Amino acid sequence: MLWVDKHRPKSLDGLDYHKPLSQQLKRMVSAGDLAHTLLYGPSGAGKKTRIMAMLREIHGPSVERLRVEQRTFKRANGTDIELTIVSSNHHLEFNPSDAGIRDREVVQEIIKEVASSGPVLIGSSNQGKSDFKVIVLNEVERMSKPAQHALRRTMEKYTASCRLILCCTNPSQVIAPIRSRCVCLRIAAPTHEEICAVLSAVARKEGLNLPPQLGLKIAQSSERNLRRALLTLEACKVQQYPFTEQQHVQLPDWQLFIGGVVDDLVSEQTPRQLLKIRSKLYELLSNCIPPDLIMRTIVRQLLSKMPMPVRMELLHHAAIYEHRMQAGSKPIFHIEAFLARFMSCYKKFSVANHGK
Amino acid sequence: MSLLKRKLSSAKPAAESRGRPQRAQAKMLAKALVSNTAPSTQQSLLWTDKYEPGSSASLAMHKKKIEEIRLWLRNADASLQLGLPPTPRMLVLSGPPGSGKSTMLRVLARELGFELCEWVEPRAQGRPSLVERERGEAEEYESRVAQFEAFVRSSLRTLSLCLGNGPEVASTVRRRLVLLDELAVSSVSDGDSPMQRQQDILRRALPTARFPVVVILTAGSEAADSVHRQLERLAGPDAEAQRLVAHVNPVADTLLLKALRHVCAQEHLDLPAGALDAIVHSASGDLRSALHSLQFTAVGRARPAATMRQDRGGVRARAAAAECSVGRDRFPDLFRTIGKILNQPAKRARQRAEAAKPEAHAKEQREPQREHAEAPRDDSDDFAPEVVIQSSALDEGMVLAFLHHNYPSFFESVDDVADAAAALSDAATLMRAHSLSPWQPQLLPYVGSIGGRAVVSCNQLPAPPRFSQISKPRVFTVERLVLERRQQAVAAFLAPSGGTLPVRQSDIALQGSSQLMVEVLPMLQLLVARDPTGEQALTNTQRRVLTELAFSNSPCRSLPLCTPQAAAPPPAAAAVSRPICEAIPADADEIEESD
Repeated sequence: MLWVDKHRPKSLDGLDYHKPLSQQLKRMVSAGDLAHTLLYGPSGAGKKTRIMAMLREIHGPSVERLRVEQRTFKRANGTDIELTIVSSNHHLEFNPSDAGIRDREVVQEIIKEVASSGPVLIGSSNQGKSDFKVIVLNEVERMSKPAQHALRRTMEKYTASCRLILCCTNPSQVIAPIRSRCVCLRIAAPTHEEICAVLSAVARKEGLNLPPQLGLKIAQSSERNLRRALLTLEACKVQQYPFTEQQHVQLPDWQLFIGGVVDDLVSEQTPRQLLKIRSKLYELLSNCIPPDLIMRTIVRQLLSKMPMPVRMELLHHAAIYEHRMQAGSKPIFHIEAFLARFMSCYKKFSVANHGK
Repeated sequence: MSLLKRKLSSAKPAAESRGRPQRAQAKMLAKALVSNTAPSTQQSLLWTDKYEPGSSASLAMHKKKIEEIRLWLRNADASLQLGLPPTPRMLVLSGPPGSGKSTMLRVLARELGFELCEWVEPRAQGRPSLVERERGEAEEYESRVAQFEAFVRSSLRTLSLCLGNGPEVASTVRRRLVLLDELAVSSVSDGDSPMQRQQDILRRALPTARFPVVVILTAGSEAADSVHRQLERLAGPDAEAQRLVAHVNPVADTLLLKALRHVCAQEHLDLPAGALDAIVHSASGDLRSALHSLQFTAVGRARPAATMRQDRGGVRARAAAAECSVGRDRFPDLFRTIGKILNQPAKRARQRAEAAKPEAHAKEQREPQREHAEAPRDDSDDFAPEVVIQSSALDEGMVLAFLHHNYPSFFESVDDVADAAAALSDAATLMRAHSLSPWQPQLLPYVGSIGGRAVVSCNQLPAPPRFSQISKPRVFTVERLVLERRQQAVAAFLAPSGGTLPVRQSDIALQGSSQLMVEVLPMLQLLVARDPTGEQALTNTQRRVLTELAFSNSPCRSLPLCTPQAAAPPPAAAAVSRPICEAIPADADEIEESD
């Protein structure tokens, strides 16, 4: 089992950071009622951990007995939608955007089903304590707008028997009516110090000796993503133990690979070079690295290498082509256009500077 | 009911052989039952039907190809009758339209004594109207897919059901060839469309088939790639061992001419030689179209008695050729179109240089700077990429992808590339807008126009002419690969019944696949690469996914798998295209070994 999963805190009290929020959640749960909740925050900040801890607080340890099932939904015209659903006796969790453009029907179907069966099931097992079922929806911001509207209606209709916990990274993509019907909680990414504390705690539990400097290095390389930090720690341990302070922090391959692309970009600016870079981009894309992440990483790495006057232009064009990429298909077109533009700018700049 | 009808039509043993008009009439009646559009008199028979070859000797096709198919047919039948699996039981015959694929199969089936069961696309038959249903005279509505399923089941498994009521299907016949002609192959693979289900049906039925199956795919010679893609959709990537692919080339001009001469002789038609040549030329290897043209040309032309003076050729023949060449438009093919657009700047530069040469001396002394500044903006030759694209009848999206894949090697300056790339990105955005609302086609012309103009007008400093090959865009392969790999990864790591997983299922099951790909799997790769037999117990499928996802510079490129037997990679994709003549001896060896 990966350390990320092994050392995941189970209860609200065991959470390592955002203590006031945990207390708030605890109070909310102990009051006996749970409002619809929307948790948002960057990836690796601990949204899911908090949700599970909260559910455990409500329903006791039985929420951890999970079943994973592949459900098939019949549609009106006879075709099927397959969806992975994780559930316990008390809650049910799925990712509506997996259903693609048909997410609306799936969301409505599941909620209706849970809402109609929920009270009977729970009412018989434990009385009074919490007679509602919880539905956890992931990646709500990737749901289509019709599905979100449908969700809004369903939310109102079945408040009596079920509660929704929504989870997303960017609440601006969630329609306002849903946001207004939920308690919106922001789970901020942990600071470097908090990550360091978690890392050293995990290292202690594993019986390892983690030098603070290395901990800090890992925290910095993980971009305030706790999941990534823990995975990196584990990778570092496999790579070299006992730890040393100067130890090289292992980066995922794709980051190193993008580093290579950036070096290519800076070293030579010709159409031929662009072709070479393009084949690298294709490799990245075909390894399922999302195009927007590629773009972002390239821009970030370029920024640190560029002189001040170029940075402005770089960001300007990056913004334009990022926007295009979201609006258009075929991301390679837009990434490449951005890189070509950058090459052109950078070349002009370096020619001008040499001229002086 | 409809099944029976189909059987009726499938019993039609293809050709109305010459000299037996009564039989032909009877068959035509049968045909007319199925589709009312069939001609009712012999006079108006299309020549393509009337002169369908009766024997393999008269086929307008290369003898070798015929022999290959014949050999396969025999082998497949033998192996199926004996219950031996090795010979591929499915043949995929691809080729341009009118090259005689279906005809060859019909003829061969007849000669070898196969009963031919042909899937005929059912008539566009709507749901019965209310009135009809009330009167009870509407036949039961059956969806196309259901009909197809019934057809596949009955034709591939059971023999007795499919009865030939014609005398030529003797009761002793135990051989059958199932022919699926012009199966519509869907372009989307979302498991939703009826075509997709049709393919699923076929894929499922194939392993238990008792008779050889032939699937005919019509595709131009330049679209070999699309044939493969269609194939993959049709039979699934894993069915490679079970099928064989043969490609039929367009009919050679000489053979075409021979066939046309033969028909002319039969019809007592005397066309000037030039006319025939013109027809052959414009048909570009399409026998059917050539015959149509011939018939069209002959309509209303007086049928002279057997003799006509030949020596009146000359000018009149040529005039006749011009008059009667029922031309098909010949579309320049894809690569030429793209090349033409991309090479235009270089061509223009060349022309300009040549034009400037005589005046160069004079001008150089007067105002060299201004000349230099003005020259690049001179787009005065009216080259219109729109015209080129339109005349090639290509899909704009395809043109765009090709242009994008190939343009940088024609450029010399990065600034120009940046401009062109920006315009191409515009075009891609438009393309997307179009695909979101395909009922508004007015955006499409802009796509081609912007794309074409971008690579021409922005290229002010064309690369020196060198041999640069136009290659196929990788975009589509990459897109497909991404989908496949993501599905594989999700299936391998998040399978509901996955046994012991190193990663807690519930955690990543719902993280969404992008987090799995970006955060968890790369680290898992590192862990496993350092410590191959460690505590992270991975199944082989998972290991394979990790290996596949490794970058070319990464250490875990060759991840050891647990058990070497299970590690055998799936049969390489190359097997799809192995030539038919090699496949059969190899399989024959296998038969001997298994004995």
